[in-house]
Amino acid sequence: MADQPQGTRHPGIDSNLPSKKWRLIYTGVTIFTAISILLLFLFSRHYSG
Amino acid sequence: MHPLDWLIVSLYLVYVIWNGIKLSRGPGGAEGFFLAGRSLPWWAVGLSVMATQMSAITLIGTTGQAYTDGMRFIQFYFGLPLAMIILCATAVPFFYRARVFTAYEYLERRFDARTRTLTSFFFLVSRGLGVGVIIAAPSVILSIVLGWDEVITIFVIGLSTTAYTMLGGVQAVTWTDVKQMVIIFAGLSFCVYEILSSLPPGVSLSDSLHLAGAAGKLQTIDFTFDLNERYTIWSGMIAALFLFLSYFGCDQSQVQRYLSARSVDEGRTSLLMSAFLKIPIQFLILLIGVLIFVFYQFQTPPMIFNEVDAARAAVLQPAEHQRLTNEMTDLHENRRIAAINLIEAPADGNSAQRAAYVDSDIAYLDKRREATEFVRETNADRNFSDVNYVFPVFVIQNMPIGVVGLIIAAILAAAMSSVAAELNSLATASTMDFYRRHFRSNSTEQGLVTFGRFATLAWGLFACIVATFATNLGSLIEVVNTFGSFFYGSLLGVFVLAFAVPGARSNGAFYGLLFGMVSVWIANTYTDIAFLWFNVVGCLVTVAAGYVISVVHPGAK
Repeated sequence: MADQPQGTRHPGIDSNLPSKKWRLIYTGVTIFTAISILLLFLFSRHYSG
Repeated sequence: MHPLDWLIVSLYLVYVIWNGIKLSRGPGGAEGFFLAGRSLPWWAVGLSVMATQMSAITLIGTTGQAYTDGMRFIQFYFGLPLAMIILCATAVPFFYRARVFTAYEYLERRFDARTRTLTSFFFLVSRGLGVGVIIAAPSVILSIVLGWDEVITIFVIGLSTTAYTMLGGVQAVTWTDVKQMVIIFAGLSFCVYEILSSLPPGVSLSDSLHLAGAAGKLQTIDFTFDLNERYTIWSGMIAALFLFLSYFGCDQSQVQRYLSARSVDEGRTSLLMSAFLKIPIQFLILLIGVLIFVFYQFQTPPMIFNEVDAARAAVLQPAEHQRLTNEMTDLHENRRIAAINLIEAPADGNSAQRAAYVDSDIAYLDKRREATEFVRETNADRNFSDVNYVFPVFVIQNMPIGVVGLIIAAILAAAMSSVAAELNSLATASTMDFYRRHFRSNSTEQGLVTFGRFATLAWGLFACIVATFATNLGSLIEVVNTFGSFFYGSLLGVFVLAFAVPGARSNGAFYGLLFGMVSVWIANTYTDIAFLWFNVVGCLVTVAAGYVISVVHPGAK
């Protein structure tokens, strides 16, 4: 077995907080998803009358 | 099938096996065979993640579901992007930096060996049976639609996939997945083009969508909050979020994909690729089902898409079969005329034509339900449904030569890409969580690879045998799916305890998992809540029980 790496026993979320770059990327994915769902809703309303 | 279609399917099968053999000369050692030396680029891993999730039954079943039920199913995927973000921030860095081979190996570092062994054992049982079902489902459909021998189809899919997975390991699985995704996209693109080309002159894509919308096929969002309703925006955003967290974060078949990435960031990016693309791709697949529905507004559809079962019922009760056939033909003709009237009516004054079309569609669907019930009762098959036959029957009967071969190759590619990843992960868990952990802790690198290859072959043969039984035992498929749903939410609960609850201890994780599974069994037995919510129940009960047990009786760690 490999040696136990640092921080794997009780890592906690705090020790892996994402960097600013990744926070921006996650925000972008969230906005993209919200827009996709909104477009689907509008698509549905437009064609379903 | 035309000889050219046979040639395309044969070339595809020969190519994937040859490609797998060629890739067997990748990075060496156990890390090379099981994790490609952690050297794969994000885009290849991302495509492999999507290929693993998209099985043949996804391709066939989703289009059939859109044909019969519309696009509501897309709500199931709304929770996926958020799940990917949570996993990018938690599971990916935790697993990658721990340099583990399996997700369950991490649980030993965090808790103890029995938690690792129990979770890995449940994974092996549920996935080992599940991969048999993944092979069986398209094999049954292709054998009925194309007249292929069922057992031969099972072994062609199962053994060809086993061959390249066994020889090339994760390297072959990933790069073959990439090529298989290209074939799937090519097949789907040709399919959309051909359907649109097959519509009557004067019927545009916009007309098609208006027709489908009038028939209720484009209802994508349902805001109703009902725990018994399978597909609503709430079940997609909440319950499916838990399912995707468990599937992508705790299931070795997906964890192994991003563990083979070059770095933590490339692993994250590969998951975010799915977050961006999954909803648009599912929309495209569902749209194909809707366009097939529109196509059959102008062409006469089969009375029942599973024509073998329909013919069997016709032999037993020919007069009733003929009556239903005649009535459906008349109702289809009424609906066709109503559809043309609706398309030709001015957009701002078509309410009468729209109402007439909706009424004619409802009348046709009522008769189709009656015909389905007739086949179900006549053949004494209470599980009968022809939803999964819509897409393959449409392709075989209406697509041009060459495109049929390409789409059948795409269906095989979808099946094989999922099966390969499952076999690969089953072999990895067997080797690392059992063989190396409990029997040969001093095994050499080559010994681990040899055992991994043997395990791949053994799981491949096991899956083929399960598949031959699964084709005849409908209840076995139910058992496999139910067992998987008992396990998934509870497994997620164990990983939540590991990642997010610093006070969680080994007893809490081990017994919390068992409590979670029992709670899902109770929910399944005594309530009517939809299957997706089992993941929420299992996870929350596991975390709560695990925390309480950790406080009261902490155990070793």
